[in-house]
Amino acid sequence: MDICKELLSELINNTRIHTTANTFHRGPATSAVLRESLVPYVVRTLSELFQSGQSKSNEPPPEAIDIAITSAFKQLDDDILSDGLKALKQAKTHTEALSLFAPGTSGSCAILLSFDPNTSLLRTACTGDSRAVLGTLSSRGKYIATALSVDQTGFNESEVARVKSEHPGEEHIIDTKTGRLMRLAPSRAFGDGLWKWPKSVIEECHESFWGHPPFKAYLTPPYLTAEPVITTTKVRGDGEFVVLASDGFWDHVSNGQAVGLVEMWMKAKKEGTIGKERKKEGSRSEFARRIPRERKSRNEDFVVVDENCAAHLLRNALGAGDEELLCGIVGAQPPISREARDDITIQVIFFDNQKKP
Amino acid sequence: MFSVSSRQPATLHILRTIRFSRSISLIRRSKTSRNTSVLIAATLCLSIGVWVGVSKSTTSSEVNNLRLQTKPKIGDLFQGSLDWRGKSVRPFTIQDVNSWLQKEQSTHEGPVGSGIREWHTIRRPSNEPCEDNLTTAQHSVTHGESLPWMFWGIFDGHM
Repeated sequence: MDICKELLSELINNTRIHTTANTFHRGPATSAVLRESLVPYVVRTLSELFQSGQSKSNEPPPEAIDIAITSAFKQLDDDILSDGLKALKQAKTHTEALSLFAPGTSGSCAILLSFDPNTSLLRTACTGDSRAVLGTLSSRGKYIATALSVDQTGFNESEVARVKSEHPGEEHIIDTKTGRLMRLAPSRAFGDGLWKWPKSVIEECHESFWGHPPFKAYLTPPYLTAEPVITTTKVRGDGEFVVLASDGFWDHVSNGQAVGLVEMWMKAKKEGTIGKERKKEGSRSEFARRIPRERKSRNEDFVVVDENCAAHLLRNALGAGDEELLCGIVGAQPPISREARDDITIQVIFFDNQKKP
Repeated sequence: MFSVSSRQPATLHILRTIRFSRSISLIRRSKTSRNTSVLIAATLCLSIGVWVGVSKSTTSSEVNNLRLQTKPKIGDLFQGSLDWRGKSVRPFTIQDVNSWLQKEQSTHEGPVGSGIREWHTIRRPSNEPCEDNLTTAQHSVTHGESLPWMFWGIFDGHM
């Protein structure tokens, strides 16, 4: 096991040296904090809201629930960023300062589904460019896709308008060709102190704690917010599902394809044909000499091989039934792998009224 | 700049293998007693054996298996071989893809009263370390008699 650890840390170190030198790769510290505490922060504010109600049957108005979720998101981000200020004022050792700085130095998008089985209301709170898509059964018996969130990037017109109105006269901060806000893809995020901290803090972090120097035109921070956009949907419980995934998945698969893939999987599951489909003839298993970075999955390649629906979606995003392509993309090792695919996380949630008492 | 840095670990690995082979040959040529040679050989066999065992038992490891099979613990005596091709970054087969997909996936049945039949999850890295994180939770947020809420989150760190 020690050997594994040694090798793993060697791999990690090699990658880190490369990436910190050449890109804005700052690691998983913020997303680890969100995993630990975003739900508890939201639960805390929701509990306070529900307890403040006059009578037990009194449901708070929907807007109040949205405000509570929003305030929890913003509170956690404020706490993350204020630790960076504490690092400068209170840290007694260098390592303690680095520890305090880490979650505010790296950044993370967040998408959080919350489902209240009492009201069957599904809320999607989105900060950044992960996405949730709902699959609902239409009257014709086919599933249709409805986006529950809209990616917040420089390609989103309302986001561009918001950022421009908050920073009048700084038109250059969004690059309309790349959709990036001061080199960053999402226009909202947790952490990312480089876009939020006062310039003096970034300068001190740069001089004393190996931080990145401030951007040249850093005039009116903060340029980013963790405030989510929240949508609410009533779940009927008649076979709906949600596909929740990080942008690495949506790079290759459209909303309609994702819902179609889940439908395909449900059909195969019902008929017991998962993994039994014969390999299709055609262009498969040819040498995929050139795999474009903006590669989109093709419907004709889709296969059902995996018992796990999330794994099924991932396989079909990364090459599907074209095994040569799939091996090429999955076999790419870091740091080249980041050119072939991003980190990908998928959760597929199937609703069912039968599960209610 | 990209391709140069990316080639680095693989090249280092090859150089290490060759250097170690040479140093072992030197040991053998020197006036070391036969007993010592036997002892070294025995130790090598034992450590390689143990080590192959360990590497086989850690299928969940993110590390390329072939990489493990040709590298001992850092600083240990290591025989190495002239056969380095395809070992540092090996070509993937469909079986490798299938086991890669198996590594961080799970399926769960919805708890009674949750309104959820099941949920399926997967996380697979491209970056080292992986910057994505996720959570699933069930919490009571309302009054005692109400059903608890369910939560699913995905947190995409960056870059």
